[in-house]
Amino acid sequence: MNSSKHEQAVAELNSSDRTTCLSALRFIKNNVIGNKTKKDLYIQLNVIPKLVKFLRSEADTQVKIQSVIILGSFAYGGEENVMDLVRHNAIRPLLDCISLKNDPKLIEAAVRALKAAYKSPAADKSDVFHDDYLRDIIVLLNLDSLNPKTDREKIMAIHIAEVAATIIARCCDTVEQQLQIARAGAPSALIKLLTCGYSKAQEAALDALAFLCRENPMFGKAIVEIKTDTGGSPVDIMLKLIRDKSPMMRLIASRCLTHLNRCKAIEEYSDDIKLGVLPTLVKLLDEKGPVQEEAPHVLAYLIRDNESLQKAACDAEAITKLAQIITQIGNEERQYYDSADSDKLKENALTALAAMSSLTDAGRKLVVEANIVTQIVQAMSHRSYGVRAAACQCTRSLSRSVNILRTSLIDAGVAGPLFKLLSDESTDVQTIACATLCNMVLEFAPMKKTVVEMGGIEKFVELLRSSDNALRLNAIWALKNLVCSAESDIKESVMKILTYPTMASLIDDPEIDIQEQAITLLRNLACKRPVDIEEVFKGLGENQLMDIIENKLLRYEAKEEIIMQILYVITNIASGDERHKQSIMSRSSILQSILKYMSHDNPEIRVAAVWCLNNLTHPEDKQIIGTQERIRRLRQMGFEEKIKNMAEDGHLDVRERVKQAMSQFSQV
Amino acid sequence: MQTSTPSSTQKKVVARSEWEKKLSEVEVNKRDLNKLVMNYLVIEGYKDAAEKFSQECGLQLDTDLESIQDRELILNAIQNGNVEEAIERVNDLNPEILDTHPRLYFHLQQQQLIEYIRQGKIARALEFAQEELAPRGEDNPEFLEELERTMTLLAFEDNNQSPVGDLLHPAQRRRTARELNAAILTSQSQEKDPKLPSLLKMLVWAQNQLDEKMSYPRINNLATAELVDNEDTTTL
Repeated sequence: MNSSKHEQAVAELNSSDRTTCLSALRFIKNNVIGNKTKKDLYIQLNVIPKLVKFLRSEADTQVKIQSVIILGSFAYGGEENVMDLVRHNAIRPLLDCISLKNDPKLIEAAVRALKAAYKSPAADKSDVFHDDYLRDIIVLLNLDSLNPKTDREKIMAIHIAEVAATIIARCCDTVEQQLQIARAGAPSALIKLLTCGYSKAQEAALDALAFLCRENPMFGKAIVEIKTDTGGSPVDIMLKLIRDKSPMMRLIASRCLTHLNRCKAIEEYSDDIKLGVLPTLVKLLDEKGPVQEEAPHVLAYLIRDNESLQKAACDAEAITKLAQIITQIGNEERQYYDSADSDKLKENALTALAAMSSLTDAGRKLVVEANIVTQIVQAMSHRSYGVRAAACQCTRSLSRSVNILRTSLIDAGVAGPLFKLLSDESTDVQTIACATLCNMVLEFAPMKKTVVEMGGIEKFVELLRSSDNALRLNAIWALKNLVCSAESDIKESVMKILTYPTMASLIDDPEIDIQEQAITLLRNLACKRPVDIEEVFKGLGENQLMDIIENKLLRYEAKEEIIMQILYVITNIASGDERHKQSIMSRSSILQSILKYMSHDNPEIRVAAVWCLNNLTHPEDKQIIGTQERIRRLRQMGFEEKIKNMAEDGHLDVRERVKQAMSQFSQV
Repeated sequence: MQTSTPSSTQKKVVARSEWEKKLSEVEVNKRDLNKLVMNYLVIEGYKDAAEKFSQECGLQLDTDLESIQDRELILNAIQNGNVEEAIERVNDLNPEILDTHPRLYFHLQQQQLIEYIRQGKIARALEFAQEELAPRGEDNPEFLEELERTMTLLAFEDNNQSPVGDLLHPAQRRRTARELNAAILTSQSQEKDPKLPSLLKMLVWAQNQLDEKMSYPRINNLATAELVDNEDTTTL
């Protein structure tokens, strides 16, 4: 590119003549706006430090305004450009420009630039929370702050308020940030802006309110309780706006109400959510562009974990619409070009499908009937990691129906692509893939064999060495499910690769959830057949096995799940042959612990403890002498008395087990 | 079983006198009509006309004249083939618009290319296409197609022969101007489409619906709104 005129413009910024300098700035501005190539060119010519210097100096207001506009335009050029701004410390000087003492035109340019910069996750938002910047921003939400007189000044004030609200929306990443913004008085100023009658400013206010209350019940309630100028509730205004003629407004209002609903701030409006917000979002799927792209994302969030809303979304034929979107993008991808434009839409549509089929078989069935399973499976090999993750989430939802797993998913060749995702470059994708395989190896026995044949055990064991705890958890979970009710040869294959020492160290992992899964793995290994129990005895060594049990039980404060799983490990061992039962009996500390847990507050733990006792006292022909011996010993320790005291336990399950125990004690 | 056949009943005929009587019964508020006209003038960016019209019929303007004028100047610049001026003006008005509307920005640059070609500045056109437009085409294949179409202009001596001669037609400038106008209006929280054209579309639609059921004096020419008796139209 012929860049001499651009180099000249940059050189002219050093001129002491104001006119030369200003016309160079205007030249640069008109070149970079809208033009990514030129933005990059000027950044390479190192223009940012010069512009920042103008802002820090006592330069003429016009010079500052033009400089800020150029910096703002750079921010529109994407993540890397924003990084360049951050690197050259451009953010603070921009924040300095928004003070009310400045020319409104400078304020307007500065809030615009900040809005563009904060769109990128690369920009550090903590600057906003320093000094008085946050207060300065919130003041701008009030249309009267700038004291506008002419029409033009009023339009500018409204626009500044709009952009200030958008900045707030983008600075709500953490609860701490939400808190500071709320404390500084943003909510009531935003509610006021909500009724100003200018759609862009209303949209921005809704956006900010939505992110202020996202996953934050306290602020959700606070927002709902603010009185509007008309005396009504802000929720009623929002409900009106989901019927606005502009699709963007309908979307943003629906999103705000969705966030309020998710944080349980508007439970009395559940009918409006179901009959107003949900159908609005489903209809927005027919729109185009950014509205269509975002609508499935909001829809997925709205219906997540809510069976009734998932059903309503199915009834509104959301699945058909989403399937159409995915099919259409699929066709374009095949015959057209490699455009990343539709990736986000595809990802969001798949996320919505995953949400809709996560809880009910009816939803899953509709997905299958929409003829979309093959495309979901194909999307697991998509170039965008977001699409792969969403497609995998969809597969996970579908795999919860054993019927669909057996037929549609297997027919679509799910195993190969899914297995490949275990080696994905994105940890998120690996984690979801691992969770999906967890379902599959548990629910559908032939899948165990397939996974083993594809090298699944080696892969899961490898993932256990990841630095990501969520991924490690899912990996041990998958191994645990793999050996659940499995044939001895599968158990053997797993332990050959995992090894007993590794399992033992996982049982003492710093992550309590991983401990729990590792203990459950042990429980599953020692399940059913005496040969299986014998394997565990050989693998860990009898002493180490008993040490593990003893130590875990001694920690009364440990997570209840862990105690329960350990009690079931004992139960399983006690179902073995005489030798296995004897090894438990030989540790009086373990027996004392069992007795103690029979008085635990949690009925499930009481049930598990009585199970231990029942298996130790179970009468079997071959072990008749051993059993009698054990019953006498346990009676001496006070078990029989304890059992008698438990006959009136408040829980049916406990009473059932206790009945069995009493009858077994009465044999001797 | 009874089969239903299409109704063969004669269309109802409404005589001109009866039709006109019915029309006169409909009360149309003069003020509403004026507002419709004003809405058109404001949105299409006719500042002087809007100002005069508002004085004549005593209608308060709900937008400031300055902002209409801003748009009028920008749109005139496009209509006169001065794209550079239009870009500078729109950047002064709101520097976000062209950064957030890549398609519009591409169309402005395409328009600039067309103007260079129209002026016979072939070397400049080639340079501009290579430096400015080609990178946009790389980002977006759709733009590339449009760019190729525009470059085809260079291949024909006589633009009347050119398959893409329409690009040099005034309608192309109007198209670009309309897209720019809509983006500016949206950025100001204003309607981007005047109400009058959609009302006319509704009129056409309503007449088409009515044609299936009855015969009545019809408006065939929207510009004169002259009522034409139906017999005439059916023979057309």
